[in-house]
Amino acid sequence: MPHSALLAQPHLSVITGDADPELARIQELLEHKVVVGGRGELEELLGRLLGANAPPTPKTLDLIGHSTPDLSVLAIGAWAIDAASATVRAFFRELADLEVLPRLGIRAVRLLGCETAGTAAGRATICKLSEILGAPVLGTRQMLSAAHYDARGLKDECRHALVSSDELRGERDPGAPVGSSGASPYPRLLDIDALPSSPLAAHPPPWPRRIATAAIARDLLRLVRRAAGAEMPGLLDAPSCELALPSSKPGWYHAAHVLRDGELLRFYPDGTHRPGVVYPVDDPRALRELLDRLPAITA
Amino acid sequence: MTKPKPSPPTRSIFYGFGAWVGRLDGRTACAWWADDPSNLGFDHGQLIKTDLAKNPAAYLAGSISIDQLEVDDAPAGGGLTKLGPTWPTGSTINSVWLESNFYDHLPRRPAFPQPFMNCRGYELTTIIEWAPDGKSVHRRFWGFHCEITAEQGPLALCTVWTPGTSQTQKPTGSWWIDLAAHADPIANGFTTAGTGAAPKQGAVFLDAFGTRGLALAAPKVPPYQGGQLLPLPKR
Repeated sequence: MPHSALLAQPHLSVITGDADPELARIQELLEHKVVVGGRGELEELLGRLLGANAPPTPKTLDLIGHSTPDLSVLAIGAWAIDAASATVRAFFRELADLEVLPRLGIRAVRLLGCETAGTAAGRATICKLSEILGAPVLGTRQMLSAAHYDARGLKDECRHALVSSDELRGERDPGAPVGSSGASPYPRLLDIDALPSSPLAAHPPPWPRRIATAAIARDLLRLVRRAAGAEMPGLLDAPSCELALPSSKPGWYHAAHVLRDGELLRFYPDGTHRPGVVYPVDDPRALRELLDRLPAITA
Repeated sequence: MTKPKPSPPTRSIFYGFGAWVGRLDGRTACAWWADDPSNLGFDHGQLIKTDLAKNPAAYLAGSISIDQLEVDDAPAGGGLTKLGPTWPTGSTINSVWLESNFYDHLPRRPAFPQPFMNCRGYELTTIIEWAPDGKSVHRRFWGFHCEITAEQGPLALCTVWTPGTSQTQKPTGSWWIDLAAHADPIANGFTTAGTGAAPKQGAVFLDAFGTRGLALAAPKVPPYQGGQLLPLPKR
């Protein structure tokens, strides 16, 4: 089959050559496909396709075969696509380095075998390959047979059988101790000395900043319920001001955001790249009065 | 005299079940067991007939009435029914979320929650609140087990369990949540925990905004199935 015809299809179907009756039926069904015996032949195929200099029509690279009985990862010939293997990672890294997928118009790779996303090894492979290739990689969560295919490849109506690397990255083991946002399972204590600090010039805020003296900082912190800290997802309120609380290092300060008219203070114990931890203020009015005693500095 | 116009539906409630398909009756119709059939002696008398096409998407498309709803949507539609969706290629062991009236009228209702789930029923419950005209989804709520340990006005410091794990796992995280903005009100009869005089432990049904912020996995039904993050975006 001419390479240009192969590359013009929405799916570049590459099927393993060691065909048992079921795979043979799939081979018969597919109108446009290439049969390969393993990694070497796949590499050669991709090289030949690049040489065709065909326009990069958007498509998926469908690798079709059986999954291995132990890890349920896809096998093309004797080559098991298991990202735990350094040679497998190296193969896909080379594809990424040479930008093979974008040059061929391949937007996603689909590992079409039975339950290729059904095991931890399978899911790890899907995520790792996606990370290496910088493109979505999809696996399956069920058995696949010839009934799932037509002349164009995997039937559109069977796409529900697929799970993508994006979805897998979003999944979490419910037994894991913390949520995906990294939230602590229990409320967090405020330990002022454990907070990160920096010179004032390091992070000039877009809102007014009030610099507390050590004495006023103590009074402010007395108003905070220090055992009731937690993230507050979706809190879009801009702070009314930033409090700079002196640290033990001269000239360095801990930052806190005053939210909701002093009802809440937000600290960043894990650094500003992580979500802040919100603490309630027992007496917002007293906090506001203390804030009024501090000069506001606008950047 | 004109016949009174029926008022539009306000809510639809769905309960999550693990399902083992025992018979295919059509492209979207099947009959399933609510337990591993090995435990039931493959007794066809215990099969539950369900048409997976009778879902909210079909209702919104006008192909069925609200009374004909049987199951929640597939993930692509924002629901968690992963059984099927079409035969013979669909998934035969997976989750099916039954509409509450359909469940209530089953000749042999399976236990809810199923004994193998080890969680509270509300963790396997989702609510669709229809728009006032009944022709679109206004909000969707998901049930969580929650303990409230502090309050600040309408905000509650909520310790939350990943749905489906409250009786076997530690909590997943603690968050300040504006329950007035993002939880189904206690008056509606589903949320039981809240601020003020309300109990401090129990069910909290959160909308998509509140749920997205927690980024928790959906319940795994049956337990060995994979999970997905809540809420499920419509594709």
